[in-house]
Amino acid sequence: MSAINFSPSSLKEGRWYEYLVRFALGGAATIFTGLISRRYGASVGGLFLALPAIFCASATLIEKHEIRRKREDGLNGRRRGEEAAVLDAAGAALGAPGMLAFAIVFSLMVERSIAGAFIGASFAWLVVSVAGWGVRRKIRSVQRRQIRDKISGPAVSRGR
Amino acid sequence: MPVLEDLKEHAERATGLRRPGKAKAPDFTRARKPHGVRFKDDGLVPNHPRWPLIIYRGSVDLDGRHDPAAVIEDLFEANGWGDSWRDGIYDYVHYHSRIHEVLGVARGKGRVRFGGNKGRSFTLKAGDVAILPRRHGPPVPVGLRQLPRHWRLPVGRHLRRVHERRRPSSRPEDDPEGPIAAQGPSLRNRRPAVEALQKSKMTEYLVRFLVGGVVVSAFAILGNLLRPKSFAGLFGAAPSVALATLSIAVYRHGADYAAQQTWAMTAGAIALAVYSVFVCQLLIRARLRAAPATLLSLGVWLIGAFGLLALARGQS
Repeated sequence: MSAINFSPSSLKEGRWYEYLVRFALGGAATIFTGLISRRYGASVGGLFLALPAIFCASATLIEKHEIRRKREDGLNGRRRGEEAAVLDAAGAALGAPGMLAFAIVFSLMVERSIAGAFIGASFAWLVVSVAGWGVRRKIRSVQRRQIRDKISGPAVSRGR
Repeated sequence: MPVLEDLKEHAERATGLRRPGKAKAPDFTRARKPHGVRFKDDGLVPNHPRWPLIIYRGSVDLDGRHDPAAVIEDLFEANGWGDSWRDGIYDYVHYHSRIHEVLGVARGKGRVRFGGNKGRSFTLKAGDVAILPRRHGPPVPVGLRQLPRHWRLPVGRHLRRVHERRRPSSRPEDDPEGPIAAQGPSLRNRRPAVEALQKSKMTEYLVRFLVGGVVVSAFAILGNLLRPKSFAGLFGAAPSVALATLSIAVYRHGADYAAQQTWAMTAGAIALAVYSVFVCQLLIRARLRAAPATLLSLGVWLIGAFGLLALARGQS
């Protein structure tokens, strides 16, 4: 199981306009949520706080990255791009319970302490998301080991 | 108890004790941007189509050395708003068709509904001031006991006088400035509230764009820096837009509004989980590219989120 690490070199892989797109998209999504809240009320606006608008952009950009990298090596890269997008989507699926925890903690705490709500909710998001990711990694590693054992099992018996 | 409050008011007025006086009252204001909301006509309360309800949060500094009610009273009177009284909020829907009204909260905290059925409930607390234009549904308390003491200051006659003094030919209902003209210099924040509101709306959109852009970019960069990719993907579903929006919501509308938003956000988050799984399936099984897969799946998110919200509303 590979550990979590920082890879500063990956920042260089991104093009400047990709960061600009993310910035603009983030700003537009925040304005959009504000407009929806103003027009249809806090509840409908609140739904859009979990709109995966940013995810659409990030998955597309990650796929493009991988394809571009493989093409530089003379390969097609489409499959690699697809896999990277799937991994990103899996990460988002694991992040969703974290977002749920964020929303619950924030709504329970904000009327008592605003700073506490922001800190507590962000911490809840981080803990739940990372825990979900860790559990998934553990399950996958156990599954891989079981498959490996199954494959190596008959080979040993044949040797006898 | 209105009777006790009336007695206290008479005693304070007679002795001058615990009253700042009209001359010093404007010193007790804080510069606050107005928050304005327009409501639709709900058939019972003919909410004004143009003039908004205006709320100044924490605009009066209640220092504890003076009677908070007297501070608000003197402040309003210093600005030409008189004939005030101290009492609770009526627990039935009503409105004034031809007069404007101003409400100052001296003590406590409570949920108050403005604008009738198509209106909205706000949490008002000590130091808040609400200006209600004519044909605006005056407040109905939600849980009367939550608002122990506050002030209700009708401004009809005096507003008319203020308007007539400024523009002798116009009646208050013809005044294009609406309730803003009656705010008086100390609450005006140097310019009429509607003008300030329009300017503040533009500023708000700009602030939203910048805050949203910065927070989302920060999470995206963090996601790019981290390995393995499945871990970095967590940051694709980070509550970046939520953090940006909620910080503005808390500042502009208060904690209760943000709480309402995050409560609805739980439905959006559950829909996000379904959405992400659906995107995975489209990518793996239908072999779609990321852009069409993520965009097509937005339909699943919308159905899920609104379905859950409708379900929650049906049960409450």
